[in-house]
Amino acid sequence: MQKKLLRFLVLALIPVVAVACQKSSTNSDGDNSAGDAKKKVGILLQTTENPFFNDLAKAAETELGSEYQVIIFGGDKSADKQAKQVEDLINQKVDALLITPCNANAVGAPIRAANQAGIPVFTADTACLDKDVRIEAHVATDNYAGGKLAGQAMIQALGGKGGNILVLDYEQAESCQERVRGFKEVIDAHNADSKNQNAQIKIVSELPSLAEESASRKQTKDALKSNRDLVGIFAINDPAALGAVAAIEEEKLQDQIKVIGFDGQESGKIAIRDGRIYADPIQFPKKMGKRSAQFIKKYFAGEDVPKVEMIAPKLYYKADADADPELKNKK
Amino acid sequence: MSKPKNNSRLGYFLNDYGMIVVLLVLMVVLSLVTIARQQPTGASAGKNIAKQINALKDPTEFLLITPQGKLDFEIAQGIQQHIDQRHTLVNSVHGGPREANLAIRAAREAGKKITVIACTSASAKWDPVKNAEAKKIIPSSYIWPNFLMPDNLVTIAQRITVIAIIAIGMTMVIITAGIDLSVGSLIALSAVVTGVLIRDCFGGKDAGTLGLWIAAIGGIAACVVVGFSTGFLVAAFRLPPFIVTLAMMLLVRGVANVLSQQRTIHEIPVAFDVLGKGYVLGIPIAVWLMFALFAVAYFVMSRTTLGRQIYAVGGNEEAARLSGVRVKRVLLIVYTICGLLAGLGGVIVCSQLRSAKANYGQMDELTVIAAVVVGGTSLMGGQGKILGTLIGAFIIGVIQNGMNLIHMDDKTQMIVLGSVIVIAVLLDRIKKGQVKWSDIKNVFTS
Repeated sequence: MQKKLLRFLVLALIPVVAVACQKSSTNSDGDNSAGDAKKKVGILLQTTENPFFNDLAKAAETELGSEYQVIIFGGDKSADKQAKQVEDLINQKVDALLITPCNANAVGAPIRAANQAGIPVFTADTACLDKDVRIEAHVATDNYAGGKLAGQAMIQALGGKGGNILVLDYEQAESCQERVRGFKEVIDAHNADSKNQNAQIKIVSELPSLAEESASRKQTKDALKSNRDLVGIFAINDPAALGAVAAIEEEKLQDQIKVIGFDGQESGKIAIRDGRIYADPIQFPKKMGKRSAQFIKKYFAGEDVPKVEMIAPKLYYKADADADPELKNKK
Repeated sequence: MSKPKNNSRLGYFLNDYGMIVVLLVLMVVLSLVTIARQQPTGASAGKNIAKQINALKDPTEFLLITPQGKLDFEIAQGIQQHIDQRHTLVNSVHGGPREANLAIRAAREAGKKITVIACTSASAKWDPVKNAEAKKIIPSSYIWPNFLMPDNLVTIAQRITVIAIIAIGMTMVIITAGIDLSVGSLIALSAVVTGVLIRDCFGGKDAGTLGLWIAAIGGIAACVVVGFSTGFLVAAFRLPPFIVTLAMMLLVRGVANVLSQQRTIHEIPVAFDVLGKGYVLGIPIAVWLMFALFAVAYFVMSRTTLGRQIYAVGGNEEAARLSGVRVKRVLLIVYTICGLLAGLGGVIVCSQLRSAKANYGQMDELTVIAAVVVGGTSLMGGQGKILGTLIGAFIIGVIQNGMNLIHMDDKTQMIVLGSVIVIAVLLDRIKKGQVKWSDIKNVFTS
């Protein structure tokens, strides 16, 4: 029995030693130039399922360039998992962290741990709401301004007419709450301005979209059962908007209902080109990644870095999509 | 089950806890692949730097530039204690590259001849330090695996604490041939109830110690009630545990969402960090708690009547009943314990993240079950060891940590983790002599 175990152990160790020798030899190569060793940057994404974050990470990596070694982890939207990833990166002594938090409050704990280890932290997209931490810079979309743009697009889409509309929200994310807040403000202002009863836009229902396609499709279908007369839907991101579009098309109401999305992911842009979504306030994840990376470089160069930078979103219509070189030949 | 031929203690130990070999192999592998240069930290780094400067012939005026980590502040002390009189520490800077830049310029403008900059390996990479015309001195490095750094080992213990504590209850449930799928949701329930109590009943950020205790006990109590109900449904109506706990999983997650109104509860005082982040003798309190609970559970399972009865119920329920074991009571107890420990896990998560949300603990039930199964407990019931579960939890924690250390992306990590679970369980079977060649052949022939 023990002999067998011993044999098993020896067998198991052979590949291990082989791998290790290889690894340690490359390690020592790297250390010969220890003087100007690469700076290690850990990029922690909320999730790798959403192309938004992958675009952000890739742009950051490109901008950082060859002087930096970039380590990318996806957190599966779990604050706990993300916290553990941060701790593992601290143990590897990374030189900086760029975090897109899974949870605006819970991310405080791992950021504090990084602070204690003397590692500078940068955030993008969702801001850390825990005030008890030190963050070098934060780059984000101005979601409130984006929500306002969505409201303007909705008024435009309805062409001066009013009617009942649906909002597909995602209260879990502070960013999405901001979008809905901006949207409602514009709609309320529009209603106050226009005396014409027929031009009043009424939000008859606000349903949780889970920020994903299948849940939004179900919610929209249910909403259409009770409100057959809907004329518009505002969804807080593209997957939610596409879910709404799917439900509308199943009910053959695409001529009656206009959909406004948010984000400007590729799938969303394609839907705009094909006329299935009216317009999106688009975010610029690549710009966000690039700016974050520029701030990291500035930081290491000893320059001043702004605490917060808001990137303004922009409305994106069918005409923009038709002219978009990135969408050529895409289905 | 084959017994070891020699009756040595080691033989029995390996037969019971063969997975420890897998754990050790993993640790050796990860140590070898994470070998890197390490620098001393804190006061000893200061001492090291002072020695290097003392070895210089000429008297120097030097700067100390470090990041602002907790231990970095001790470097200055270490230097001052060990530096020779003829050298002068002009300024010590704890900050970022910007502060370093300003300090270097200020020193030069004040007419100091800065010939040496003492720094850490991190601050040596900052551009202002790198480009400064001065000799840079960093603490001399030694070769040691990142994986085996004390901080990392503590991190591993810390990352599995919640999983391991819940796995104690899960082991007991699985030994009775049951399963509890609701533990992940119970983490969320406990965290949310604790958070809501702190926020609404004890004054949020200003809550006192007593309030925190009551809130934590409240969170755990909610889970005890759920565990008790599960046990009651399983015992009284003979419902399959899989179905009952599947239902509980949904129900409890829903309750947690409703209670928290889908918001993150963050009005929790700093003092609450103690449980998850407080340290005693360099080890987090939650980790001590985990080891203590395993000691208690080991005693219960191997030395008490209740422990024997749990094994008896899982081995053969009918035989257990006929020999006087109150089967239903045993089932009620194990599900309640499982709920209680899941509740405790939830409180720890809440403390670690100083916030509570209804999506905590998603999928954790599967990680817990994996830890139990990798630890050698049979899903058929009647067999299993508490300490095996601890080893199983460590195996999973070590793999997760190790994969992060070697920068494996998180999707590939899933593949590795899945494969390791299959291999670990297969190895366990082979080792116990439960794999027969004829069985394998029969899969394809009969």
